[in-house]
Amino acid sequence: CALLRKAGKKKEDDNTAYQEAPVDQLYAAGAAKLDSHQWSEGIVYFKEVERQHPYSEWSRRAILMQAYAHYEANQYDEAVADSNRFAELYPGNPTAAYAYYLKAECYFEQIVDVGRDQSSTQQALVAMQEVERRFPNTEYALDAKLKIDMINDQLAGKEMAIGRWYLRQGDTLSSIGRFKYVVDHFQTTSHTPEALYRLVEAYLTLGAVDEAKRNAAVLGYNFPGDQWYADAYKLMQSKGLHPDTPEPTNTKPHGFFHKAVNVLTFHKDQTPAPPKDDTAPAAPAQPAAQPKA
Amino acid sequence: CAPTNMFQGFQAIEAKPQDVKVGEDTKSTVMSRLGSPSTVSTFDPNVWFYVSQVTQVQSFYHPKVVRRDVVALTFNKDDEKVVNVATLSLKDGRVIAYNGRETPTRGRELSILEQLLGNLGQGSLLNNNQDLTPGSRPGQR
Amino acid sequence: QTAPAGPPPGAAPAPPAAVTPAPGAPLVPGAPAPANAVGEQSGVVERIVIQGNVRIEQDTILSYLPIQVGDRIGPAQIDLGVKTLFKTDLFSDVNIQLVGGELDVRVAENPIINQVVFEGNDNLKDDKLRDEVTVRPRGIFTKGKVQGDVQRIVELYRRSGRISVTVTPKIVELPQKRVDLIFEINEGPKSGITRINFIGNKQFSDNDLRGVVVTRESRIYRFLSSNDNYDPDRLDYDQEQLRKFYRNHGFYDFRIINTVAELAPDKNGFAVTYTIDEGPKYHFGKVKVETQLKKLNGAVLQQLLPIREGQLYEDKKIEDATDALTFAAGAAGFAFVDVEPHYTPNRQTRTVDLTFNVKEGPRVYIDRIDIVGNTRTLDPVIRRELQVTEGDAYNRVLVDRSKNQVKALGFFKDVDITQIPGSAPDRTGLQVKVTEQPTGELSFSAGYSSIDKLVLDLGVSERDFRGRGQDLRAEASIGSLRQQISVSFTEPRFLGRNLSAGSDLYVTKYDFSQYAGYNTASIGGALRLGFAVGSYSSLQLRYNLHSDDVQVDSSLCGNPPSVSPILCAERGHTITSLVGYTLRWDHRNDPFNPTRGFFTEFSQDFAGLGGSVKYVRSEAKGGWYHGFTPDWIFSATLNTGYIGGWGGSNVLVNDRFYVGGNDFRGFQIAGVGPRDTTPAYNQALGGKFKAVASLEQTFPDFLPEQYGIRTAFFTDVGTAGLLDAHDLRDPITHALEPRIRDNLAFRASAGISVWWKSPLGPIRIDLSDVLSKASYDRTENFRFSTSTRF
Repeated sequence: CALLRKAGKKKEDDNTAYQEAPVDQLYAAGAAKLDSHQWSEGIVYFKEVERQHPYSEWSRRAILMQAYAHYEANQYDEAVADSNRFAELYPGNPTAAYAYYLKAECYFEQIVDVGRDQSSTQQALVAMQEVERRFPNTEYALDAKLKIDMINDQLAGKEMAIGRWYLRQGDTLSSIGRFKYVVDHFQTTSHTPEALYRLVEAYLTLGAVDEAKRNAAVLGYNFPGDQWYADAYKLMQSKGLHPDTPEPTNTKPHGFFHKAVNVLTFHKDQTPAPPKDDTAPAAPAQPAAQPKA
Repeated sequence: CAPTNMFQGFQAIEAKPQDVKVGEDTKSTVMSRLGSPSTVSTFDPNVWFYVSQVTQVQSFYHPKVVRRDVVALTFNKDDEKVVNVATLSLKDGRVIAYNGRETPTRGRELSILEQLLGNLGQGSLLNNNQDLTPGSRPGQR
Repeated sequence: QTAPAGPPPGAAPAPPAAVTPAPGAPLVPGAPAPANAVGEQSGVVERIVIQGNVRIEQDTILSYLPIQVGDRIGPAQIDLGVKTLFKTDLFSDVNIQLVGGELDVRVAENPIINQVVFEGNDNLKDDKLRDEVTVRPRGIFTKGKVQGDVQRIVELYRRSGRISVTVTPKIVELPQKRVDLIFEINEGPKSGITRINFIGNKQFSDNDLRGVVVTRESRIYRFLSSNDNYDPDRLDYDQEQLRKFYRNHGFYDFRIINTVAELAPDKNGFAVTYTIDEGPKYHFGKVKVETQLKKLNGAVLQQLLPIREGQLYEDKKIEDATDALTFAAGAAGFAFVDVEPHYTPNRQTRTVDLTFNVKEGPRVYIDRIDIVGNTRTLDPVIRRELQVTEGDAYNRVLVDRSKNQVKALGFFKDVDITQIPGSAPDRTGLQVKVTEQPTGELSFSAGYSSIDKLVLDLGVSERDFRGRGQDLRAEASIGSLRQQISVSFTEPRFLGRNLSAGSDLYVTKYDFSQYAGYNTASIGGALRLGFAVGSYSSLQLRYNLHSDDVQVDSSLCGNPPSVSPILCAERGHTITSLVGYTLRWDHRNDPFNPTRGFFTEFSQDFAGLGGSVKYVRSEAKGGWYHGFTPDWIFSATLNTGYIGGWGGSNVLVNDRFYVGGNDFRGFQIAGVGPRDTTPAYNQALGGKFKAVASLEQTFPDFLPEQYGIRTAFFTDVGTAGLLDAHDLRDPITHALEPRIRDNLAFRASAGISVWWKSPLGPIRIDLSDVLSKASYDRTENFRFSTSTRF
């Protein structure tokens, strides 16, 4: 590839120490590296495949393998960039579903605790929704649906954390705003019972007793077995009000197990590798190995 | 030193929520005179609340709420006329021990090592002054 | 109105270069006009045939094409099809024909970029350009992207002062539809500024005005700064600076007639000429405050204005007045207030009458406050600094204060509060955007200081520990003179209150055999509480417990003693348990390098709450700062202290004040103060009283400020001394020991200090000459040390 040398006197950005090798050899070498978890070495091979044979089936799968390798090496930004490049070059291809899914996984794994900036949580939500919308009946969509619930739960968690802080600071009105936001926007998350309970607390602090009763009633009606309703019931009674909803049924506090189960556990190993699509890439049309020019 | 007052929530300048007239005012007249409510009941759109609060902040004491006016306006479902005006003040408020339990959330916490060495800056704010005169001790900062 | 006289020949930025085909390989024809449908182009589509695609698969193109088999289509749908395919950026040419029932789609794919090369860019490095351009290796090549990148490169060069740059992109065709993209850059001469001159300025000299504008004349020593090249945007900014300067000095009618930038005949620079009309000087006339709000009384607000009749007219004062009125109204409960100043200039009397009209502004409430960008600091740590909460009225002054409060935390590079649309017309959301900056320091420094010889210093400090705003410092430093390990922790909001609480633990060994003849090991700890008493004053209470062990090896204390007998008498172990407080007023404008304002501090420590040591130590400190210009800052500091024993006990040697070294330049450590001048040991004994004043005047060092070098003249004056009667006598014979000298003589020194923020840490060098001293003092005129200014 002397032509390359003459054209650009500056070296290409990544090293091209590899001679022009047959594409399947390059690809196989890259795949071997990935199997032995040497992500960065594998990436160099796949980059080479893509640069030397940009039109082959190999280069399409090489981009996916690069994205997967970057993801496994926790280089989330590069993995997202590779996925975007795949989507741009091969939008119609069936394996594009994996590219979108991997991009969503990258954002999902960067979700941080509620005390800090939730921008990656938002990005994860958008990406997961896109996977569900574009590729509805794939296994990726199923996983995306589950993760969307977790993400919404996380966003609701942030609202609750800020609401509780305002409540304890004495800014009762601000806390009501936050808890109402959770009840309005995140009704299906695990935080709704607590949001209703906190509204009872807040309105009692203001002295608006019948509004407190209304919220306790909805809590009792929708979550009779929830510990939060038991607490609300006790709170109302201690303030001499008798809520007009039935007795709380289960007064057993949540076991530790319940708490541990829905703590988000990141099993990186559960994320599937790129699919081995059935059509093994056809042997490259023209003989790959050109005599060294 | 004089404590400073913080005026929070709804600001009644000329028009006050207390003097809304039952049977006469409707949602639109209240909205035009007072602006949108501080908050609306969670499940009953016909109950509006106007909440204003004065908090006193002094040196290292906890901020103390010294005055709070809550006005609850209930509207008739059909003709949106004011049915009831309930006013509450600070003494109507109940003192509550807020429940300590929290619904668990997720997300990666910062590991201790990551926090300490997470983003080391250059230059040194470290107090390595050469204050070598005998008898000087860091404790006396 | 920058109107360069006639476009400088050849210097006008090159018209956007059309992509010129590389020699030899004909490029795909110019921007293809979408195929205009001709003939009967409507009917039902039975089959779709796609030709010309090499890399992109059939079903990809089909998925993009808005036409399916079986649709009845017309020219409009065909045109739409062409447009959508173009929008995908995948194709350089699209041609759709409906022939009979067959939709014939012919496409030409955009090539893939193999590599991007820059040639001829000597001043801007490759990776700087690479970040600027959007084309990427292995990405898709489109003419639109290349045109945009050419503009970006030209803009980058224009900002760095080369406005006659030309950029021509070239394509090298490669097999399998790949291309190499080469940007050939011809940078052209650097267009500097040869001369800046002003016409019509009577009150201020050309040099004064050159100091006001940002653009500088090109000089050799300004090779580092980029302010000396011709940039039309910066000229507009300069005009604004001139206007602001004059309007703040009483020239209400100031006008810039025109600004002309002529290219010198030899084409290596521009001459910039400002023609201005100063107009007469104005003073403030009658100043009134009018308000319709019943509860607000105009007369009361009048006192708050920083403007008095007859004062020189200044724009800045009007802004301060508006702020003061808005805040006063806010504090009185009127959050929605709009303050509008009305000017009525009077040409004859040269006065400007001002009426501030305070009226009710739009009623807007805050419904949500979102904090973004805090990747480390927790949300409540920022939220608790805000002066507004959700549901409050939107008050601009409180929002500005909140921004400064968050900035004062010191954890963020920049803080910005912007309004975002709220949930209702009279609601607004606030977005607090912060960018974190490193708050942790792991510093390892090996330094040499003329006093301490070799100093090894390992320290970890984190000002925002666990994102909770807590301050944690752990430090170990080993020097020939001092070995110290200390850990200190501070929580700024103890128990959620506006109360900072902290504790320190330390083990220290000082070896002063060379200077004061003894060494001491002490281990101890301190607890401290600090809170704001007023808006500028703060109080700190502390309890300190430490045990000290004074060792003087017995050989020195033999007969004749080679160490002052007083020391030998004070060997042994003592426990000090003291309570203390510090009251501080701080009106400085910036705690780190103040240019205005003053601070005073008074602190007292009562030792004797248990423990074997009983003394009362009081210290008073003060500092006054005045910056004439950013380079010339004058500062005067005073530091006095007195320590006296009570309950019949004397002040021990290591509790006394030792003056010299950093706090009294020109004298060695403990070089000032009482001394046992027996030739054998010549021992510093420390004094019960000290008073040191230091006057400093910085001067410009003509070096770019990136070097971080500050230079100043200084003069230190003061004294130290006063011993207990018992210390004047020989402990064994109790006879008056003549060789113990202690007179509160006046000492003075003067010289130059240089502070340098070196990559290794802050370094300080003092060159001093002693003007007057006591005969037995010990002086030095060069001192090198690392010192951090707090």
